[in-house]
Amino acid sequence: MKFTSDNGVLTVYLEGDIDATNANAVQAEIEAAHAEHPSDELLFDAKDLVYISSAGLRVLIKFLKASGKKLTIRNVSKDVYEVLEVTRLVDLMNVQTA
Amino acid sequence: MLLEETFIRLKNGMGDPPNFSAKVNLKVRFSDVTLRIAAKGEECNPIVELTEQEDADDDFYRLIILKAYRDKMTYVRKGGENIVNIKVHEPSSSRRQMFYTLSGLVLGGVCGLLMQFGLDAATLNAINTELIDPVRRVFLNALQMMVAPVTFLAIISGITKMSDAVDIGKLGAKLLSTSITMLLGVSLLSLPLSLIMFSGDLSYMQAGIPTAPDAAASQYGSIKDMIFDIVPDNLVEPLKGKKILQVMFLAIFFGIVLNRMGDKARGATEFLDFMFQFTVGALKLIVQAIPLIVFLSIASLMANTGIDSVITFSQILFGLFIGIFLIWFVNAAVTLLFAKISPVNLIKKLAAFAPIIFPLPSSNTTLPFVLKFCTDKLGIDPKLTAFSIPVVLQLNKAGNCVYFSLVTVMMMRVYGIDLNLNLLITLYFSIVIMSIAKPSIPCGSLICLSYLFLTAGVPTDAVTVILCIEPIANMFNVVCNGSANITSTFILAKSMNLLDEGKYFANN
Repeated sequence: MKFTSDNGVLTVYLEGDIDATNANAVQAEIEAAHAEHPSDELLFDAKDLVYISSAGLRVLIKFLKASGKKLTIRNVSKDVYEVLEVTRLVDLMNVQTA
Repeated sequence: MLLEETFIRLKNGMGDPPNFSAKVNLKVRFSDVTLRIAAKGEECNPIVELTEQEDADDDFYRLIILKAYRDKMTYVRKGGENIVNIKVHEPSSSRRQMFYTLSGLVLGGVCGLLMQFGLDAATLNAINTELIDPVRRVFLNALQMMVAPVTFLAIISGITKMSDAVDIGKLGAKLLSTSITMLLGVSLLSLPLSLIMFSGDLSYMQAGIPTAPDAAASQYGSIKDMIFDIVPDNLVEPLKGKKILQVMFLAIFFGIVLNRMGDKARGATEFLDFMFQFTVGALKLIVQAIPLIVFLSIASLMANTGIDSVITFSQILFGLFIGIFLIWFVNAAVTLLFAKISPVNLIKKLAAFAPIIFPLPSSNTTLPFVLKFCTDKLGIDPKLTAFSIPVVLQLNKAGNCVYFSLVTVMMMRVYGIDLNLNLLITLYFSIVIMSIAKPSIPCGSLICLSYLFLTAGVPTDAVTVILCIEPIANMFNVVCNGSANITSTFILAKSMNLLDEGKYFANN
């Protein structure tokens, strides 16, 4: 997973599948990157994200709650958007489709 | 996703045992695709109850996902296994209906042949009169009950939505004139084709086709009778459903009145639209019985007439096949007449395109393919196709012309009805009118055929036998109607200089 920090924004480039098998590892990786730039606001880029399950959503929700703000997830594919829509996460996050 | 969420829920629900495993199979049956997940052990139904709640984030979102797709999942406990089936893809209702109808056709044929060899004439007669005919009659009654309201509401709700179409103006008039010319031409050729295809005596088939006690002679003596009967002398008679032209007249007349009333009639148009959806819903329920009726009708026909009737029905399909070439011929002639451009490439490209749309269940489903074909292969400006193709879809029913001609003439031969000039002219215009007016509803063809049978003096009960070839005839109709749609748009594109002739003449 790639990260870039620019103008106080830490962009997290989500990729591949985020499911029950790797959700904890993904969460730990983002936490580590955020720890290096603690004042940065998180921005998720889902251009290369193929699939996300409820375990992956839990990761997003964790950072959403921690920030206390409406986080942005951009370049969301049709399939991923469907999951975010069904779970009403589109109301809690700023979701931008690809 | 559902597989993963179900797996985890199953694992947790079964007490999270060590070495938990589940077998996953993908089952494909026709266009029915199902994922099957089976886990041995303690009983656990992972299908989520709608009232179920969960606070933990992970489980909370899992529950929402599983609730959202709950109707795609089924659970069964078998042989100590918890089995969950997840529907990945299911065939559309029209494809499913087509599959069941064709199954009814094959099973009915086999059953009928077995009955012919195994049962004596008295038993066959008893089965026909005591079982098959009453069931068919109930179905026909139910269908007849819906004919007038559905036709009326289909037309009136179509007209009340046409206020935008009026703005089409000149373009619409051009499309209409080419479409009507093609329809008149196709009908003119399809009647002789039908007379050639069914030139012999088919009265032997009467033994396997029901004849209502009130089987009437031709409804109209001449075209004059038909025209003067269009306006009813009261509002009740047309609603009995026997005079479909009167129903159509009333729908068009009241539709125009409602359009003229503008905003004041909004409540009424919304109500009519609701009633249309309601009656189509009712009709969809009735047509669920079609596979059974096809099974009974074909069994009866085969038991009484043997394999000969299969040959006669094959002639309809052969006639429809020839009808495609006939329509391309008319397409070419109209293109030459209106667009003054060589139609050779158009027909060549239509012939190559036909197999792509042949298996599609309706003209509406061909839309994306037709739009792409017009732009990529014929060089028509995409802005024009986006407007023109959906409009002409409502006008070009050349395939119906061929189908209605073939079936009506065949049935006239079955009942030994002579085709005099008066009846031929009446039939010609009736076929054109019915081809245009055929409502896009389940059994739309049967409604039109019932009317044509009445016009020709064929007992309307005979439509139950025609049900069996409807799904196959639809495929030919899709190609015929699609070809006519493309030709109308092509002619319009040429006249408006929106045709890339380089692309059209290229061998792409």
